[in-house]
Amino acid sequence: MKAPDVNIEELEKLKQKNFQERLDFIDRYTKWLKKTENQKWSSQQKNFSD
Amino acid sequence: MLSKLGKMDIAFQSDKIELKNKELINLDKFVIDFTSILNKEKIKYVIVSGYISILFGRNRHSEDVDIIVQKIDFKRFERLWLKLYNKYECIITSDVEDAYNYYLLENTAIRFAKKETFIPNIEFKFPKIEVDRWTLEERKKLLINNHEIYISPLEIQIPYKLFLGSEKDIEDAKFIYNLFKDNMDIELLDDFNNKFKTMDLFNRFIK
Repeated sequence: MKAPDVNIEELEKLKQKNFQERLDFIDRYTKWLKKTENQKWSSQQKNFSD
Repeated sequence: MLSKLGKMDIAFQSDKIELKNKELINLDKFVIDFTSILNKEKIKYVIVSGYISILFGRNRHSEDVDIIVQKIDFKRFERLWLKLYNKYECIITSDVEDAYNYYLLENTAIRFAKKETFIPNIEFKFPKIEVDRWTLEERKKLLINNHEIYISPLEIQIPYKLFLGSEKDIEDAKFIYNLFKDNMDIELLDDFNNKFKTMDLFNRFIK
């Protein structure tokens, strides 16, 4: 099996776009945290962390 | 051909990888539940990036699980959206047309989490570039305690993680290589390392 052609410039742009999307997600998440009771968000955090 | 990894109960066969007797963590249960809906809807998807190393035992957290989903038309997407909305909601937009037209078709991911939660979530996207399309096409079936999920070929995960380049990503790459180096197509791995221009990093940190 061979790897497909890889356009590094395109991949680099995608990496930057994904990074920006993650930063946007952090904006959304922190907004949600600020309007959510501690017991609720921390309970989710506890469940998530097993 | 069946190949096993010592006492770690992972069996490699030509058409699938089988991981048995895993004590599932909550993130595994979340992924299995979400992907079971995709499986039922016969929608082709592939799990990529960080969760793959967690799945095989790496001890770290991830707030999201990246899934590339075949590009489907709006009708099919809407049907999936309604199925998902029994348990999940999109935390980026609550409007199905927005989700499809202004996010997915514009190459921006949307995220699904269990209702009234934010983490963990599924980062859901259509293939954006040729590498995404290849990964979806060449996905591997993984049976985890008999649940069927589809993951990226490991040979692309290592160079891709090296390309991303954070300490966490390089550690993930090393973890996958150490576990699976005897079960990988090394020529394909080298081909990707050359094309991603990650061979130096690979020789320095991974090999």
